[in-house]
Order: sequence, then C-alpha cells, then structure tokens
Amino acid sequence: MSPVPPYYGAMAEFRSVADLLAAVRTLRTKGYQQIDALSPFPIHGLERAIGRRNQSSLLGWIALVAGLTGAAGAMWFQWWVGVVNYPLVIGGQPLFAWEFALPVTFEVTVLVTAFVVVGAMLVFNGLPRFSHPTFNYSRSSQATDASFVVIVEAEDKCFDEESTPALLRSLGGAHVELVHE
Amino acid sequence: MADLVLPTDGSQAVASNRLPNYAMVTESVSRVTEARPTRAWYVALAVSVSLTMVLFATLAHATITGIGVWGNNAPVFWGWPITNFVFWIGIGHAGTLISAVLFLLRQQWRTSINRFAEAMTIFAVVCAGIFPVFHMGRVWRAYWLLPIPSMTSMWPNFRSPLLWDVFAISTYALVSALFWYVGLLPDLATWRDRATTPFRRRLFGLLSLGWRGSHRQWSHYEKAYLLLAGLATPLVVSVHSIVSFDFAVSIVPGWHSTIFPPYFVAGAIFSGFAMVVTLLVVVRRVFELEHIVTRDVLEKMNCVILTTAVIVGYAYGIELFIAWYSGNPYERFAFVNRALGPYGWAYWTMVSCNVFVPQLFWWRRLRRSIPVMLSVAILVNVGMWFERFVIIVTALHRDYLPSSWGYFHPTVFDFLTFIGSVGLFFTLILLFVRFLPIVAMSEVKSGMKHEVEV
Repeated sequence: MSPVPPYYGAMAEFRSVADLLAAVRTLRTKGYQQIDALSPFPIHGLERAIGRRNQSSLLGWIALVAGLTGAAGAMWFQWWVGVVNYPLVIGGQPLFAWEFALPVTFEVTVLVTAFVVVGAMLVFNGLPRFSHPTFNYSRSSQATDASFVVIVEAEDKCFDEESTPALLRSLGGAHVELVHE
Repeated sequence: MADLVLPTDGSQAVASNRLPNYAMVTESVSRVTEARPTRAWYVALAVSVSLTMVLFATLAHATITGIGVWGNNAPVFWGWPITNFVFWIGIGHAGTLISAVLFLLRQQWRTSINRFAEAMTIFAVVCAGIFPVFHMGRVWRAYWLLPIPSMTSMWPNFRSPLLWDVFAISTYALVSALFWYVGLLPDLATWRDRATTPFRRRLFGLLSLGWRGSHRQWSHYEKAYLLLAGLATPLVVSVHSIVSFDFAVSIVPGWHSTIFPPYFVAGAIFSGFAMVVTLLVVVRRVFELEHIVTRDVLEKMNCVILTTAVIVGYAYGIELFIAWYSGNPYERFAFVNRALGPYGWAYWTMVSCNVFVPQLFWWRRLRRSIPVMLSVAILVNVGMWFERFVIIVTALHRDYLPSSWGYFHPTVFDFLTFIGSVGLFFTLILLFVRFLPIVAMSEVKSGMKHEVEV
C-alpha cells in the first residue's frame, strides 16, 4: 500500500436523505469503514448508519473544565482584589463575601465557556481551512444547497479504484467521481 | 399576498402539500440579497443613516458640553438615558430566547425567525450600550469600568450592581455575537457555493471559515450549538435580572423589591417579541418570505406576547398589593403617587399598552391578523418604554425628602438621542437584511419533512 493514496476518495451525489442513509447502510454491510457525507443540514441517524463513535462527546467535558476554570478564576480574582491587592473597608463590611461575587463569577463563567466551546468545535472540525479535497468534487457546491454526498475515503481498506465507484453507482449515486487529494 | 401556506403542525416551516424543496429555501432566502436593492430600501437607509448622524451629533454635544444638555437633574438623575438603556437591552432578550430557549424546548417553528431575532439582539445591545457609557459624562474614561487598576491602582467596586451590569452586558453582547456567528457558518458556506462573482465567493469563503458540511463537522457543530444554547439560556435570565438589581439593590421606594428580577425578565421577553413581530411583519412582506415566516409562526409569537403581557400585568398588580400589604408608608406613597400623582398619565399609558391592549390576542382571528398584530406590537413597544420611564422617574422624583421633590423635564437633546438610537438600530437592521442570510437556511431545511423525495 502506498503511504499517500493518490485519491482522497470516491464521492457520489444522492437526492434525498433516505437515499443517503440507504447507501451508507449498504456500504457498511459491504465492509466499508471510512465513510463520510456532505449535507446541507445535520442528518440524525447518520451517526449510527456510519457506525462511528460520537467523538464530539469530548466537547461537553471541555465545556465543564472551561466553566469551572472561569468560575474559580473570577471568584479568586474578586477575593484577591478585595483582600490582598487593595483592601478597603467600606461601611465596616468584611473585605470579601462570596455572595456579592456571584453575579460577576457567573458572567465570566458563561463568557469563558462559550468561547472555549466554539474554539474547540473549530479545532475538532479543522477550521478554518480554506482548501479541502472535497472541494475538488464537481458537485460539492450542491451539498450546501439541496443534495447529499457520500464519501468513501481512499484510506478505507476496502477502497478500490474500480469497484468502489461501481458500487456507489449501483446504489443510485449520481456524478460518481474519484476525487484527488 | 395571502398565506399560501398553512402547515398542519409546528414541525414544518413549509407547506405540507409541497415537496421538501430544500433548494426553494436557499433560493427564497438568497434572493433577498442577490437581487438589486429596491428604492424603498435606499429611502429607509437614508432616513436611518440621517438619524444615526443625529445620534452621533447629540452624543458629541453631550460629551463636549456635558450631560446637562439632557433633562437629568436633581432629583431625577437617571432620566431618559437609563430608560433608553433598559428599553433597548430588553428588546434584545427576544433574540436569545428564540434562539436558545426555544431550541432547547425543540420548538421547530423558531427556525424561520431565529437568525433575524439574534441579529436584532446584537443591534439592540449596541444601542443599549451607548446610553450608560455616555451617561457617565466622561466617555474617555469608560475603561475605568473594566477591572484594570486604572488610577492609583484602584479597582472597580465588585459589590456594586452597576459593575455587575458591566459584566452582564458585555458578556451578553459577546456571547450573542458568537452564537449568531456560529449559526451563520453553514449559511455563509451556502452563499460561498452559490456565489456568482469571485468577490462574493472569496468573501463568504473567508467568513464561512471553509465550512464543508461533512458529517463529522456537523456532529461537532451540533454539540457545540447545544452547549451554546445551554449557556445562553441562563445568561439571558441573568442579564435582565442584573439590570433589575441596579434598581432593586438600592433602597429607593418603588425600586427596592424582590419581584424585580422575574418581572424585568418577563417584561424584556414581552418587549423583545413585540419588536420581532413589528420588524418581521414588514420584512416578510417586503422580501416575499411569507412561505417561510408563516402566519402560524407570527401567531405563536403573539401567544408568547399574550402570556408575558399577563405576567407583566400580574407584576403590576402584585406591586400595588405589596405596597398596601407591607404597611410601609414610603412604599405605599410611592405607588399611590405612581398611579395617581403627576406621572399618572405615564403610568396609565403603560398599563393600557402592556396589559389591556394585548388582551386582543385571546381571539384567534385577531392574533392572526397582520394589521392588528402590527398595531399591538407597536403599542407594546411604546408601553414598555413607558414602563422603564415610570419605574425610573416616578420613583426618583418624590422620595424620602419632600424638600427635594421635583418634576422631570426632558430636553430636545433627550428626544434627539433616543430617536437617533432608533435610527442606529434600523441602520444596522437594514444593512443586515441586505448583506447576510436573514433566515437560518440550514435550520429551516433541517426542520422539513425528509421522507418525500425532491
């Protein structure tokens, strides 16, 4: 096997969600593993059809860590300002109390978490990336409008320059193409 | 145009008798900006930009001369600027509610309006932010609000609700903008792919960050969107609660009340939905989007307006009840004075617009009628502006010391600043409808029934 496959994969266009799901299921039964799809909106059920574990569950944990960091940081900062850096007695009140620090702590938590979640989503998705092999497919621009594209990646051990496109065609795929890296 | 489209249930944004024509959604929404702008758009923009210039001029005047050009004076130091601030920030809340709360509640009908409402949120927050910053008087020292040891290593006072407000509003602005942009990504990619000029292709290519819509991308994207919605939901509640703390944490009779946070949040949703209805009724007509922003969607919005009107009415009632039941003479005086004193006219304008007028929406025919809903929505906006005016001015103009009682007189610059902020809001809205997808195309498509073939 060559270290760099000459092809990114085989791509085919389908006309409906049902066709896409049926095609992906058949590909799975034929032993294909490295399947992806392009669609104008998220398709529920595709996860299971492709049989890939949901990697994005990691985002929830990242959000939790970011939130706890933001909360602890904001609370600590208000304590540090009032007690350590510039202690100032106002109206005989204690230098710090967690109660008055809650609103700022909450806002900072939300702010930090939101930006970390979006940043992590972009990193997981490999964005920004302005050039990608899928853009070489003649119909890729339709996949953000109204059509559904199945990708069998060349890394797949079942991938074959002859039989994979033929299989996609037999499943009803239109514009079947081998797409270069 | 009559409603061609009467979906059988809320799960469908498009006619049940039509096929799930995804391309039609792209076409209808993209047409809005791909066609040449109409004369009406230019006229509207010219008016809005002129008013924005008025805003800039009055702000410059207030900065150079001092905020004495406004009517704020003893005993009413907050006057119109803070009224306008609370008014605008309240308008913004509908956007976050529609995009986050209704998303978590799986309300599919939100998809046709959430993009527009989110944009409105951001623009309203921009307008809101102007007022407290300029009301400080020395705008060039606005950075003193931030937690940086700006002078003699002093920090801002973290005990003050006014500082909490700084954090709440800036977080709200940033997170709303982020949420909006994340929602825009797939639609920007759609526009990149249907661009007919190299400029548009490059512009939307850059803005969409190279979005492909692959299955792997969608799964991370959906998770991130869900998390953002989960974050924005408590955020929107916190923002107007903290705004209400500006009042409730003080000891002024008429302000010092535990009902303020929920009452402000309900009022914010109420006014925001009214603003969304006001704008959408016009936009869907002008851009022929009646088949996407259906009358059913507007009716549901009106149901939310009716519900929140009842909540707001309840809050008005309970305030009066507590004023009597608490036995506190200052509290009782504040409310008797509010309803029957020199500002009675403002109080009853508020009650009429916010409580009585929306009751029309109990009738299905009225809440589906475009002229009725437009009139009610505009009156609700008027009423909600008066609510903030009544809260601020009636509470301040007669407090504990009768020797310092007074009557608030706005100046011409108060009017010009407020009208100018309306101009800025509409300028931003008009630019938005011209240059960005005003309906979340990917979300509308995702909500359509997929079984039928194209």
